[in-house]
Amino acid sequence: MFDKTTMNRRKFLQIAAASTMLSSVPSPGHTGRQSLLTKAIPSTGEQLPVIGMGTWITFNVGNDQEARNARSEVLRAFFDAGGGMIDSSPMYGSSQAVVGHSLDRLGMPDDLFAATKVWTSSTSKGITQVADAEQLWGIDNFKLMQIHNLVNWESHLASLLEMKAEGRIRYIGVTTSHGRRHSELEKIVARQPIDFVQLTYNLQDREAEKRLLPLARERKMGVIVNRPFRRGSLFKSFASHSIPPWAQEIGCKHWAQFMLKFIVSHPAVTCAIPATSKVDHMRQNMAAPAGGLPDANTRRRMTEFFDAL
Amino acid sequence: MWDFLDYTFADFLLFSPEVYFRLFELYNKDIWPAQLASPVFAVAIIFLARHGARHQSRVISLGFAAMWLWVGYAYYAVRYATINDWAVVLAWIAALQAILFLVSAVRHTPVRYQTDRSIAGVAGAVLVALAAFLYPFLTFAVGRNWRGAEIFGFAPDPTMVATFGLVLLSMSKSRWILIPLPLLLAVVSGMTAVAMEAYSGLFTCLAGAIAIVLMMTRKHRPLDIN
Repeated sequence: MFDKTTMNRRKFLQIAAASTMLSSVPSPGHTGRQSLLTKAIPSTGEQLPVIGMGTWITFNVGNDQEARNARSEVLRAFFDAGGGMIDSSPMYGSSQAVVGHSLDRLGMPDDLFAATKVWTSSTSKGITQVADAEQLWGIDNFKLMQIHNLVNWESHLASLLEMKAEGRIRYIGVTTSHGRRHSELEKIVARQPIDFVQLTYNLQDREAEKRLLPLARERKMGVIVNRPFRRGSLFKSFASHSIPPWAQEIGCKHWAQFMLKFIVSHPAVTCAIPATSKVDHMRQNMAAPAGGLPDANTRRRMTEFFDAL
Repeated sequence: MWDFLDYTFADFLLFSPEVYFRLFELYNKDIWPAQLASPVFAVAIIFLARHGARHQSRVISLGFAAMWLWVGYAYYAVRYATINDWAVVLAWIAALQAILFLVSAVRHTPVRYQTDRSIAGVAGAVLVALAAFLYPFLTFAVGRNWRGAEIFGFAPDPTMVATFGLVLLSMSKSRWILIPLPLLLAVVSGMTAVAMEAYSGLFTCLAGAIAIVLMMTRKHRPLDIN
């Protein structure tokens, strides 16, 4: 088990520095597009851009053709900025179909990191959901298949391990959100052969720092962070404030960048998956790593600044 | 299966208010000019209910059965279900309400409706009128696009409000079977509205609460034997 007393400030700085150096290596396959800072997926070393794209709420637009085309433009901005990972779920209504529609319009990037989830209490339906998702996205294989909110996780994990052995998926993950079920998640991370854990971590929800993030790092698991803006509510906290000069020095031009820099600079975090339905917001999100990531001292200032709001 | 209890209602709100309200814009575009019949329905209901006669009451119940069936199919199942998987359940509830109205119409002693000057009677007529004439304006009173107006007979919320009003016009014992399902749908609609911070949607819940209180004050009168 990870000994939390070993994570002192010096150790943190060493890890953060190593992580930032690693993440400065441009990822392959972004020819003709901007490159984005990447981090290594701990279990394989494969590079993953530190900003991915969530589809919760934002891509659930049903059959509204105008809205579907607008989401395609959001996805275009994501790819243009060097984005690779798209995360969805069968729980998100029409989101997977809309992602598929957008990928069909834009063309399939070589470095697409397709990630979705199984979300059902039925084991057999979980297997069907994987096939359904492949069809909805218009892809042959997912890179990452996750078990949504730990629903029926033991049975789904057995199915996904079989798929991984067959080469149908490359990575397996489990997810939670809103800080729920962290103790159960911790047991899974400690004992199960998974590659990724997805959880909520942001300037307000920092509970994962205590045990889950260090444990995931110790177990060489990638960490995907959802709800980086707490469904937009964190922007309200910053509404009447200006970005402090020390944050501008590391390239924070918008609060979204401030929040994302904080998240992806944690040594255990592989990427964050903000969701948006607006092209300009996507561009702001994707510009988050520009100017460098905060060191441990700056991260501490960020939390102090936020806590004082 | 109890894993699902870990979710809150807000977790199932997987669409933005913008997308939700655009559903009504696209719906109205698809069914235009059928909406013009809505105020005619409302006037017809008040007119047919003026004497509390048996056959006219059957016609009213049949009309509401058709409206609920339409709302269940055309709105909940065909449109809302594209962004909310649970809308299929709402569609079945609406279909069940249509069946209840159908039964109310065809049974030997139909549920009877009659306008009168009692508080409940006046409130019932007012709710029917509000559903048809005020509800569409509520849409743009709160800053939404007028093209997304929610129309009685076609959109669920004003149809619920009119149903609450209609039930208030009845003194038949069996009127009570017509109220639980619209109330359930109103609660779901109200929770959705709160989750979207679109509080004008609570109007439907308020109408339901008024209907329940006034129904309890209105004594059963055996119009059924007339």
